[in-house]
Amino acid sequence: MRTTLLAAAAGVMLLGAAVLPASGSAAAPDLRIVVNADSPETKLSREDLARIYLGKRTLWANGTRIAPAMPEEDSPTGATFLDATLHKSVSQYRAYWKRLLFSGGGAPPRTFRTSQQVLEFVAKQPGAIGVVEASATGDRVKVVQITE
Amino acid sequence: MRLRWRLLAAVLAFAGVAPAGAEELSDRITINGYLNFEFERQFQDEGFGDPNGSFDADQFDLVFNVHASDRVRVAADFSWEHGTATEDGRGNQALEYGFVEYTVSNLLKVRAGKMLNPFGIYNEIHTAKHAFLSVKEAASLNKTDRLIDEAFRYYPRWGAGIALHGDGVLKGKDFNYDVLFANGGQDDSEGNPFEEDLNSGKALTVRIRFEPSETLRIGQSFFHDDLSGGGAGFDRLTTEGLEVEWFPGHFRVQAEAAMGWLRSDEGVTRKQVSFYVQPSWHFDNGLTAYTRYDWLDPDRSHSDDAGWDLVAGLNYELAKNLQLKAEVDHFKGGSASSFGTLPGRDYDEFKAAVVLGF
Repeated sequence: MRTTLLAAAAGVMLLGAAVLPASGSAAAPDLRIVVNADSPETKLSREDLARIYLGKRTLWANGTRIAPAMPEEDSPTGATFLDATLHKSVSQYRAYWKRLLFSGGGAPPRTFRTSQQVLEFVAKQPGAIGVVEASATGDRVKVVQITE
Repeated sequence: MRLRWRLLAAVLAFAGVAPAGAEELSDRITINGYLNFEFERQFQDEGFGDPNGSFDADQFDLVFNVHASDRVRVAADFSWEHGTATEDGRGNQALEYGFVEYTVSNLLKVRAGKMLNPFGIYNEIHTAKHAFLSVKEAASLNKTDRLIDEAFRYYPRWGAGIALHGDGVLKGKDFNYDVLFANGGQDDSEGNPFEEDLNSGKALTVRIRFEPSETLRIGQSFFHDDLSGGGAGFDRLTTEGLEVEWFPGHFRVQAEAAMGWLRSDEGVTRKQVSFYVQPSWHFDNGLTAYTRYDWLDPDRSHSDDAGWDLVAGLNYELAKNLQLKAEVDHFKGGSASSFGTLPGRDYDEFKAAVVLGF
Protein backbone atom coordinates (compact mmCIF):
# COMPACT_ATOMS: atom_id res chain seq x y z
CA MET A 1 0.00 0.00 0.00
CA ARG A 2 2.81 2.39 0.83
CA THR A 3 4.42 1.66 -2.54
CA THR A 4 1.13 2.49 -4.23
CA LEU A 5 0.87 5.78 -2.37
CA LEU A 6 4.45 6.74 -3.23
CA ALA A 7 3.95 5.86 -6.88
CA ALA A 8 0.76 7.92 -6.94
CA ALA A 9 2.57 10.85 -5.37
CA ALA A 10 5.38 10.67 -7.93
CA GLY A 11 2.82 10.58 -10.74
CA VAL A 12 1.14 13.63 -9.34
CA MET A 13 4.36 15.60 -9.27
CA LEU A 14 5.00 14.78 -12.93
CA LEU A 15 1.44 15.71 -13.80
CA GLY A 16 1.72 19.05 -12.08
CA ALA A 17 5.07 19.86 -13.61
CA ALA A 18 4.58 18.70 -17.16
CA VAL A 19 0.99 18.27 -18.29
CA LEU A 20 -1.17 21.08 -16.97
CA PRO A 21 -0.69 24.58 -18.33
CA ALA A 22 1.14 27.03 -16.13
CA SER A 23 -0.18 30.51 -15.56
CA GLY A 24 1.44 33.19 -17.63
CA SER A 25 3.28 36.28 -16.47
CA ALA A 26 2.93 39.88 -17.52
CA ALA A 27 4.65 43.16 -16.76
CA ALA A 28 3.64 44.31 -13.26
CA PRO A 29 1.42 47.42 -13.42
CA ASP A 30 2.04 50.48 -11.25
CA LEU A 31 -0.51 50.76 -8.48
CA ARG A 32 -2.14 53.44 -6.38
CA ILE A 33 -4.08 53.22 -3.16
CA VAL A 34 -7.10 55.51 -2.97
CA VAL A 35 -9.62 56.29 -0.24
CA ASN A 36 -12.96 58.05 -0.18
CA ALA A 37 -12.52 61.83 -0.44
CA ASP A 38 -14.11 62.36 2.98
CA SER A 39 -11.58 60.12 4.68
CA PRO A 40 -9.10 61.87 6.99
CA GLU A 41 -6.42 59.31 6.09
CA THR A 42 -3.46 60.64 4.15
CA LYS A 43 -0.90 57.88 4.59
CA LEU A 44 -0.65 54.25 5.67
CA SER A 45 2.20 51.89 6.35
CA ARG A 46 2.58 48.87 4.10
CA GLU A 47 1.92 46.64 7.12
CA ASP A 48 -1.33 48.41 7.99
CA LEU A 49 -2.46 48.21 4.37
CA ALA A 50 -1.80 44.46 4.43
CA ARG A 51 -3.77 44.12 7.69
CA ILE A 52 -6.74 45.87 6.11
CA TYR A 53 -6.79 43.49 3.16
CA LEU A 54 -6.40 40.48 5.45
CA GLY A 55 -9.34 41.47 7.64
CA LYS A 56 -7.16 42.16 10.68
CA ARG A 57 -7.96 45.85 10.76
CA THR A 58 -11.61 46.68 10.17
CA LEU A 59 -12.05 50.16 11.65
CA TRP A 60 -10.46 53.49 10.76
CA ALA A 61 -9.23 55.64 13.63
CA ASN A 62 -12.45 57.72 13.46
CA GLY A 63 -14.60 54.61 13.96
CA THR A 64 -15.75 54.24 10.36
CA ARG A 65 -15.86 50.69 9.03
CA ILE A 66 -13.14 50.00 6.47
CA ALA A 67 -14.53 48.75 3.17
CA PRO A 68 -11.60 47.45 1.10
CA ALA A 69 -11.86 46.91 -2.64
CA MET A 70 -9.50 45.72 -5.34
CA PRO A 71 -9.43 44.36 -8.88
CA GLU A 72 -9.94 40.58 -9.26
CA GLU A 73 -7.14 38.73 -7.44
CA ASP A 74 -5.94 36.96 -10.57
CA SER A 75 -5.84 40.12 -12.73
CA PRO A 76 -2.37 41.64 -13.26
CA THR A 77 -3.25 44.53 -10.93
CA GLY A 78 -4.69 42.27 -8.25
CA ALA A 79 -1.86 39.74 -8.34
CA THR A 80 0.76 42.49 -8.24
CA PHE A 81 -0.87 44.04 -5.19
CA LEU A 82 -1.09 40.71 -3.37
CA ASP A 83 2.53 39.93 -4.10
CA ALA A 84 3.98 43.37 -3.36
CA THR A 85 1.88 44.33 -0.35
CA LEU A 86 0.56 41.17 1.24
CA HIS A 87 3.50 39.00 0.14
CA LYS A 88 1.04 36.30 -0.87
CA SER A 89 0.28 34.44 -4.08
CA VAL A 90 -3.26 34.43 -5.44
CA SER A 91 -3.83 30.89 -4.12
CA GLN A 92 -2.47 31.77 -0.68
CA TYR A 93 -4.70 34.84 -0.50
CA ARG A 94 -7.78 32.91 -1.54
CA ALA A 95 -7.01 30.08 0.91
CA TYR A 96 -6.58 32.63 3.71
CA TRP A 97 -9.94 34.27 3.05
CA LYS A 98 -11.86 31.03 2.54
CA ARG A 99 -10.87 29.98 6.01
CA LEU A 100 -11.65 33.35 7.58
CA LEU A 101 -14.95 33.80 5.76
CA PHE A 102 -16.40 30.39 6.47
CA SER A 103 -15.33 30.40 10.12
CA GLY A 104 -17.32 33.58 10.72
CA GLY A 105 -14.47 36.07 10.56
CA GLY A 106 -16.06 38.35 7.98
CA ALA A 107 -16.26 38.80 4.24
CA PRO A 108 -13.22 39.36 1.99
CA PRO A 109 -12.50 42.67 0.20
CA ARG A 110 -14.83 43.38 -2.69
CA THR A 111 -13.38 42.67 -6.10
CA PHE A 112 -14.12 44.40 -9.38
CA ARG A 113 -13.21 43.73 -12.99
CA THR A 114 -11.65 47.17 -13.63
CA SER A 115 -9.85 49.92 -11.76
CA GLN A 116 -12.60 52.31 -12.84
CA GLN A 117 -15.18 50.19 -11.01
CA VAL A 118 -12.97 50.23 -7.90
CA LEU A 119 -12.79 54.04 -8.12
CA GLU A 120 -16.57 54.31 -8.40
CA PHE A 121 -17.03 52.09 -5.36
CA VAL A 122 -14.52 54.06 -3.29
CA ALA A 123 -16.10 57.35 -4.35
CA LYS A 124 -19.53 56.43 -3.08
CA GLN A 125 -18.62 54.39 0.00
CA PRO A 126 -17.58 56.12 3.23
CA GLY A 127 -14.62 54.27 4.71
CA ALA A 128 -13.71 52.67 1.41
CA ILE A 129 -10.15 52.03 0.30
CA GLY A 130 -9.20 50.71 -3.10
CA VAL A 131 -6.33 49.40 -5.17
CA VAL A 132 -6.22 50.83 -8.69
CA GLU A 133 -3.82 51.12 -11.60
CA ALA A 134 -1.77 54.32 -11.42
CA SER A 135 -3.32 55.56 -14.66
CA ALA A 136 -6.86 55.42 -13.26
CA THR A 137 -8.38 58.71 -12.15
CA GLY A 138 -11.66 59.69 -10.57
CA ASP A 139 -13.53 62.29 -8.56
CA ARG A 140 -14.33 62.00 -4.84
CA VAL A 141 -11.27 59.86 -4.14
CA LYS A 142 -7.82 60.78 -2.95
CA VAL A 143 -4.52 58.99 -3.12
CA VAL A 144 -2.92 57.88 0.14
CA GLN A 145 0.80 57.61 0.58
CA ILE A 146 2.11 54.17 1.46
CA THR A 147 5.16 54.13 3.70
CA GLU A 148 7.52 51.28 4.51
CA MET B 1 -16.80 35.03 -4.22
CA ARG B 2 -19.71 37.30 -3.77
CA LEU B 3 -23.33 37.26 -4.62
CA ARG B 4 -25.61 40.13 -3.75
CA TRP B 5 -29.29 39.64 -3.50
CA ARG B 6 -30.95 42.97 -3.80
CA LEU B 7 -34.28 41.43 -2.93
CA LEU B 8 -32.92 40.27 0.42
CA ALA B 9 -31.40 43.70 0.95
CA ALA B 10 -34.80 45.26 0.43
CA VAL B 11 -36.38 42.83 2.88
CA LEU B 12 -33.77 43.62 5.51
CA ALA B 13 -34.25 47.33 4.92
CA PHE B 14 -37.97 46.88 5.44
CA ALA B 15 -37.19 44.98 8.64
CA GLY B 16 -35.47 48.06 10.03
CA VAL B 17 -31.71 47.52 9.66
CA ALA B 18 -30.10 50.78 10.70
CA PRO B 19 -28.37 52.76 7.97
CA ALA B 20 -24.63 53.31 8.06
CA GLY B 21 -23.87 56.69 6.55
CA ALA B 22 -24.42 56.88 2.85
CA GLU B 23 -23.74 53.20 2.23
CA GLU B 24 -26.15 51.35 0.01
CA LEU B 25 -27.73 48.28 1.51
CA SER B 26 -26.22 46.07 -1.15
CA ASP B 27 -22.77 47.24 -0.01
CA ARG B 28 -23.47 46.17 3.56
CA ILE B 29 -24.71 42.65 2.87
CA THR B 30 -22.72 39.80 1.43
CA ILE B 31 -23.90 36.28 0.73
CA ASN B 32 -21.37 33.54 0.19
CA GLY B 33 -21.53 29.80 0.44
CA TYR B 34 -20.23 26.47 -0.66
CA LEU B 35 -21.28 23.11 -2.00
CA ASN B 36 -19.57 19.76 -1.48
CA PHE B 37 -20.26 16.60 -3.46
CA GLU B 38 -18.31 13.49 -2.51
CA PHE B 39 -17.66 9.87 -3.43
CA GLU B 40 -16.11 7.22 -1.19
CA ARG B 41 -15.28 3.57 -1.80
CA GLN B 42 -13.47 1.15 0.45
CA PHE B 43 -11.15 -1.24 -1.40
CA GLN B 44 -11.62 -4.26 0.88
CA ASP B 45 -14.81 -6.03 1.94
CA GLU B 46 -14.02 -5.49 5.62
CA GLY B 47 -13.34 -2.12 7.16
CA PHE B 48 -15.12 0.90 8.56
CA GLY B 49 -15.60 2.62 5.21
CA ASP B 50 -18.08 2.14 2.37
CA PRO B 51 -17.46 -1.06 0.33
CA ASN B 52 -20.36 -0.27 -2.03
CA GLY B 53 -18.99 3.07 -3.20
CA SER B 54 -21.41 5.90 -2.55
CA PHE B 55 -22.11 9.38 -3.76
CA ASP B 56 -22.81 11.90 -1.04
CA ALA B 57 -24.62 15.20 -1.57
CA ASP B 58 -22.54 16.27 1.39
CA GLN B 59 -23.22 19.92 2.01
CA PHE B 60 -24.84 23.08 0.78
CA ASP B 61 -24.18 26.15 2.90
CA LEU B 62 -25.14 29.79 2.74
CA VAL B 63 -23.08 32.31 4.71
CA PHE B 64 -24.47 35.77 5.43
CA ASN B 65 -22.59 38.84 6.65
CA VAL B 66 -24.69 41.91 7.34
CA HIS B 67 -23.11 45.17 8.51
CA ALA B 68 -25.99 46.76 10.37
CA SER B 69 -23.74 49.72 11.20
CA ASP B 70 -20.03 50.58 11.25
CA ARG B 71 -19.47 48.59 14.42
CA VAL B 72 -22.20 45.95 14.26
CA ARG B 73 -22.06 42.81 12.11
CA VAL B 74 -24.40 39.86 12.01
CA ALA B 75 -22.97 36.59 10.70
CA ALA B 76 -24.85 33.38 10.00
CA ASP B 77 -24.12 30.06 8.32
CA PHE B 78 -27.04 27.82 7.31
CA SER B 79 -26.22 24.30 6.22
CA TRP B 80 -28.16 21.54 4.48
CA GLU B 81 -26.27 18.28 4.78
CA HIS B 82 -26.60 14.95 2.92
CA GLY B 83 -29.43 16.04 0.66
CA THR B 84 -31.74 17.20 3.41
CA ALA B 85 -35.34 16.05 3.01
CA THR B 86 -37.14 16.61 6.28
CA GLU B 87 -40.34 14.99 5.01
CA ASP B 88 -38.47 11.68 4.95
CA GLY B 89 -36.34 12.42 7.99
CA ARG B 90 -33.17 12.40 5.89
CA GLY B 91 -30.12 14.57 6.07
CA ASN B 92 -29.43 17.39 8.45
CA GLN B 93 -30.25 21.07 8.51
CA ALA B 94 -28.41 23.32 10.93
CA LEU B 95 -27.52 26.83 11.93
CA GLU B 96 -23.75 26.33 12.05
CA TYR B 97 -23.31 29.74 13.57
CA GLY B 98 -25.45 32.78 14.09
CA PHE B 99 -24.10 35.68 16.10
CA VAL B 100 -23.97 39.42 16.40
CA GLU B 101 -20.58 41.09 16.68
CA TYR B 102 -19.88 44.53 18.14
CA THR B 103 -16.49 46.01 17.28
CA VAL B 104 -15.09 48.01 20.18
CA SER B 105 -11.73 48.26 18.41
CA ASN B 106 -9.61 46.10 16.14
CA LEU B 107 -8.29 44.50 19.32
CA LEU B 108 -11.69 43.76 20.84
CA LYS B 109 -14.79 42.42 19.13
CA VAL B 110 -17.58 41.03 21.29
CA ARG B 111 -19.83 38.31 19.89
CA ALA B 112 -23.02 36.78 21.24
CA GLY B 113 -24.91 33.81 19.82
CA LYS B 114 -24.21 30.30 18.63
CA MET B 115 -20.67 29.78 17.43
CA LEU B 116 -18.37 27.03 16.22
CA ASN B 117 -15.84 26.27 18.92
CA PRO B 118 -12.61 28.18 18.11
CA PHE B 119 -10.27 25.28 18.81
CA GLY B 120 -7.40 24.52 16.43
CA ILE B 121 -7.62 24.79 12.67
CA TYR B 122 -10.40 22.46 11.57
CA ASN B 123 -13.46 22.77 13.78
CA GLU B 124 -14.65 26.11 12.44
CA ILE B 125 -14.20 25.02 8.80
CA HIS B 126 -14.88 21.30 9.01
CA THR B 127 -17.98 21.54 6.80
CA ALA B 128 -16.36 24.06 4.45
CA LYS B 129 -14.37 21.55 2.43
CA HIS B 130 -13.62 24.40 0.05
CA ALA B 131 -11.39 25.88 2.77
CA PHE B 132 -8.92 22.99 3.04
CA LEU B 133 -6.99 20.66 0.80
CA SER B 134 -8.14 17.15 1.68
CA VAL B 135 -11.54 15.53 1.15
CA LYS B 136 -12.08 15.18 4.91
CA GLU B 137 -10.57 17.11 7.78
CA ALA B 138 -7.81 15.59 9.93
CA ALA B 139 -9.68 13.07 12.09
CA SER B 140 -6.88 12.88 14.65
CA LEU B 141 -7.90 16.34 15.93
CA ASN B 142 -11.50 16.79 14.80
CA LYS B 143 -14.10 13.97 14.92
CA THR B 144 -11.53 11.68 16.53
CA ASP B 145 -14.00 8.83 16.86
CA ARG B 146 -13.96 8.49 13.08
CA LEU B 147 -10.37 7.33 13.29
CA ILE B 148 -10.62 5.21 16.44
CA ASP B 149 -13.99 4.13 17.81
CA GLU B 150 -12.88 4.39 21.43
CA ALA B 151 -11.61 7.97 21.11
CA PHE B 152 -13.43 10.89 22.69
CA ARG B 153 -13.91 14.22 20.99
CA TYR B 154 -11.65 16.91 22.32
CA TYR B 155 -14.33 19.60 22.37
CA PRO B 156 -17.95 20.08 21.35
CA ARG B 157 -18.55 21.34 17.84
CA TRP B 158 -20.60 24.36 18.91
CA GLY B 159 -21.13 26.62 21.87
CA ALA B 160 -23.88 29.12 22.67
CA GLY B 161 -22.54 32.01 24.67
CA ILE B 162 -20.36 35.09 24.61
CA ALA B 163 -17.10 35.34 22.68
CA LEU B 164 -14.25 37.81 22.29
CA HIS B 165 -12.05 38.16 19.24
CA GLY B 166 -9.23 40.54 18.50
CA ASP B 167 -6.36 41.22 16.14
CA GLY B 168 -3.30 43.05 17.35
CA VAL B 169 0.38 43.73 16.84
CA LEU B 170 3.09 42.88 19.33
CA LYS B 171 6.59 44.18 18.62
CA GLY B 172 5.72 44.40 14.94
CA LYS B 173 4.31 40.86 14.78
CA ASP B 174 0.62 40.10 14.23
CA PHE B 175 -1.42 38.05 16.64
CA ASN B 176 -5.07 37.26 17.21
CA TYR B 177 -7.10 35.64 19.93
CA ASP B 178 -10.50 34.05 20.51
CA VAL B 179 -12.27 33.37 23.80
CA LEU B 180 -15.63 31.56 23.98
CA PHE B 181 -17.59 31.25 27.21
CA ALA B 182 -20.53 28.92 26.54
CA ASN B 183 -23.09 26.58 28.04
CA GLY B 184 -21.45 23.43 29.34
CA GLY B 185 -21.76 19.90 28.05
CA GLN B 186 -24.86 17.85 28.70
CA ASP B 187 -26.65 14.81 27.40
CA ASP B 188 -28.25 15.99 24.16
CA SER B 189 -31.31 13.84 24.79
CA GLU B 190 -32.08 15.82 27.92
CA GLY B 191 -32.17 19.31 26.54
CA ASN B 192 -30.91 21.85 24.09
CA PRO B 193 -27.53 23.29 25.15
CA PHE B 194 -28.10 26.23 22.80
CA GLU B 195 -31.21 27.18 24.72
CA GLU B 196 -30.77 26.13 28.33
CA ASP B 197 -27.88 24.84 30.40
CA LEU B 198 -28.85 21.90 32.60
CA ASN B 199 -25.94 22.50 34.97
CA SER B 200 -24.12 25.51 36.35
CA GLY B 201 -20.76 24.54 34.84
CA LYS B 202 -19.70 26.47 31.76
CA ALA B 203 -17.29 25.67 28.95
CA LEU B 204 -14.29 27.88 28.14
CA THR B 205 -12.30 27.86 24.90
CA VAL B 206 -9.25 30.05 24.34
CA ARG B 207 -7.12 30.23 21.21
CA ILE B 208 -4.13 32.46 20.56
CA ARG B 209 -2.33 32.70 17.22
CA PHE B 210 0.95 34.47 16.62
CA GLU B 211 2.75 35.22 13.35
CA PRO B 212 6.53 35.46 13.89
CA SER B 213 6.88 36.10 10.14
CA GLU B 214 4.61 36.44 7.12
CA THR B 215 5.15 32.77 6.28
CA LEU B 216 4.85 31.22 9.72
CA ARG B 217 1.90 31.02 12.06
CA ILE B 218 1.78 29.21 15.37
CA GLY B 219 -1.15 28.82 17.70
CA GLN B 220 -2.29 27.31 20.95
CA SER B 221 -5.81 26.28 21.95
CA PHE B 222 -7.33 25.37 25.28
CA PHE B 223 -10.73 23.93 26.17
CA HIS B 224 -12.16 23.20 29.58
CA ASP B 225 -15.60 22.07 30.67
CA ASP B 226 -16.18 21.32 34.35
CA LEU B 227 -19.72 20.12 34.86
CA SER B 228 -21.58 20.66 38.09
CA GLY B 229 -23.40 17.36 37.56
CA GLY B 230 -23.34 14.30 35.30
CA GLY B 231 -25.42 13.73 32.25
CA ALA B 232 -22.88 14.13 29.47
CA GLY B 233 -21.01 10.90 30.25
CA PHE B 234 -18.20 12.84 31.91
CA ASP B 235 -17.74 15.49 34.56
CA ARG B 236 -14.58 17.18 33.36
CA LEU B 237 -12.95 17.59 29.95
CA THR B 238 -9.73 19.51 29.40
CA THR B 239 -7.87 19.74 26.10
CA GLU B 240 -4.77 21.55 24.94
CA GLY B 241 -3.78 21.93 21.32
CA LEU B 242 -0.90 23.27 19.24
CA GLU B 243 -0.92 24.29 15.59
CA VAL B 244 1.80 25.31 13.15
CA GLU B 245 1.52 26.50 9.57
CA TRP B 246 4.56 27.27 7.45
CA PHE B 247 4.02 28.49 3.90
CA PRO B 248 7.29 29.79 2.45
CA GLY B 249 6.21 29.27 -1.18
CA HIS B 250 5.26 26.23 -3.21
CA PHE B 251 6.04 23.96 -0.27
CA ARG B 252 3.72 24.29 2.71
CA VAL B 253 3.31 22.40 5.96
CA GLN B 254 0.39 22.30 8.36
CA ALA B 255 0.56 20.37 11.63
CA GLU B 256 -1.42 20.08 14.84
CA ALA B 257 -1.17 18.14 18.07
CA ALA B 258 -3.61 17.77 20.95
CA MET B 259 -3.77 16.22 24.36
CA GLY B 260 -7.00 15.69 26.25
CA TRP B 261 -8.03 14.57 29.72
CA LEU B 262 -11.53 13.17 30.15
CA ARG B 263 -12.74 12.43 33.67
CA SER B 264 -15.72 10.11 33.90
CA ASP B 265 -18.66 10.45 36.29
CA GLU B 266 -16.89 7.79 38.36
CA GLY B 267 -13.77 9.95 38.70
CA VAL B 268 -11.52 7.97 36.33
CA THR B 269 -9.39 10.17 34.05
CA ARG B 270 -8.38 9.07 30.57
CA LYS B 271 -5.59 10.80 28.66
CA GLN B 272 -5.76 10.96 24.87
CA VAL B 273 -3.00 12.16 22.53
CA SER B 274 -2.92 12.77 18.79
CA PHE B 275 -1.22 14.69 16.01
CA TYR B 276 -1.07 15.11 12.26
CA VAL B 277 1.47 16.49 9.80
CA GLN B 278 0.40 17.60 6.34
CA PRO B 279 3.05 18.68 3.83
CA SER B 280 1.88 19.87 0.41
CA TRP B 281 3.32 21.21 -2.82
CA HIS B 282 1.44 23.89 -4.74
CA PHE B 283 2.06 24.12 -8.48
CA ASP B 284 1.42 27.41 -10.29
CA ASN B 285 -1.32 25.86 -12.43
CA GLY B 286 -3.71 25.26 -9.51
CA LEU B 287 -2.70 21.68 -8.77
CA THR B 288 -1.70 20.80 -5.23
CA ALA B 289 -0.29 17.46 -4.12
CA TYR B 290 -0.64 16.68 -0.44
CA THR B 291 -0.05 13.93 2.02
CA ARG B 292 -1.04 13.67 5.66
CA TYR B 293 -0.20 11.38 8.51
CA ASP B 294 -2.77 11.26 11.34
CA TRP B 295 -1.99 9.41 14.56
CA LEU B 296 -4.23 8.96 17.59
CA ASP B 297 -3.83 7.14 20.90
CA PRO B 298 -7.21 7.16 22.69
CA ASP B 299 -5.88 6.03 26.07
CA ARG B 300 -2.25 6.45 27.15
CA SER B 301 -2.68 3.89 29.91
CA HIS B 302 -3.44 1.12 27.41
CA SER B 303 -0.95 -0.28 24.94
CA ASP B 304 -1.48 -1.14 21.28
CA ASP B 305 -4.76 0.77 21.01
CA ALA B 306 -3.51 3.59 18.75
CA GLY B 307 -4.46 4.06 15.11
CA TRP B 308 -3.28 6.07 12.14
CA ASP B 309 -4.31 7.24 8.70
CA LEU B 310 -1.90 7.95 5.83
CA VAL B 311 -3.41 10.09 3.10
CA ALA B 312 -2.04 10.90 -0.36
CA GLY B 313 -4.09 13.16 -2.54
CA LEU B 314 -4.52 15.77 -5.22
CA ASN B 315 -6.42 19.01 -5.15
CA TYR B 316 -6.94 20.80 -8.45
CA GLU B 317 -8.55 24.22 -8.83
CA LEU B 318 -10.31 23.68 -12.15
CA ALA B 319 -11.82 27.15 -12.22
CA LYS B 320 -11.89 29.99 -9.73
CA ASN B 321 -13.21 28.55 -6.45
CA LEU B 322 -14.07 25.18 -8.03
CA GLN B 323 -11.88 22.36 -6.75
CA LEU B 324 -11.60 18.69 -7.66
CA LYS B 325 -10.13 16.45 -4.96
CA ALA B 326 -9.03 12.82 -5.03
CA GLU B 327 -7.17 10.89 -2.37
CA VAL B 328 -6.34 7.45 -1.05
CA ASP B 329 -6.53 6.80 2.69
CA HIS B 330 -4.75 3.91 4.37
CA PHE B 331 -6.11 3.24 7.88
CA LYS B 332 -4.37 0.96 10.36
CA GLY B 333 -4.60 0.35 14.10
CA GLY B 334 -3.19 -1.67 16.96
CA SER B 335 -4.46 -5.07 18.06
CA ALA B 336 -6.25 -3.55 21.04
CA SER B 337 -7.97 -0.88 18.93
CA SER B 338 -11.17 -1.14 16.93
CA PHE B 339 -8.95 -2.17 13.99
CA GLY B 340 -8.10 -5.38 15.87
CA THR B 341 -11.15 -7.11 14.39
CA LEU B 342 -10.04 -6.50 10.79
CA PRO B 343 -7.79 -8.78 8.73
CA GLY B 344 -4.34 -7.14 8.82
CA ARG B 345 -5.88 -4.52 11.13
CA ASP B 346 -6.17 -2.13 8.21
CA TYR B 347 -8.22 -1.04 5.21
CA ASP B 348 -7.97 1.43 2.34
CA GLU B 349 -10.41 3.91 0.96
CA PHE B 350 -10.65 6.07 -2.15
CA LYS B 351 -12.28 9.45 -1.69
CA ALA B 352 -13.10 12.15 -4.21
CA ALA B 353 -14.97 15.42 -4.09
CA VAL B 354 -16.14 18.35 -6.13
CA VAL B 355 -16.27 21.48 -4.00
CA LEU B 356 -17.39 24.94 -4.96
CA GLY B 357 -17.14 28.13 -2.97
CA PHE B 358 -18.93 31.29 -3.97
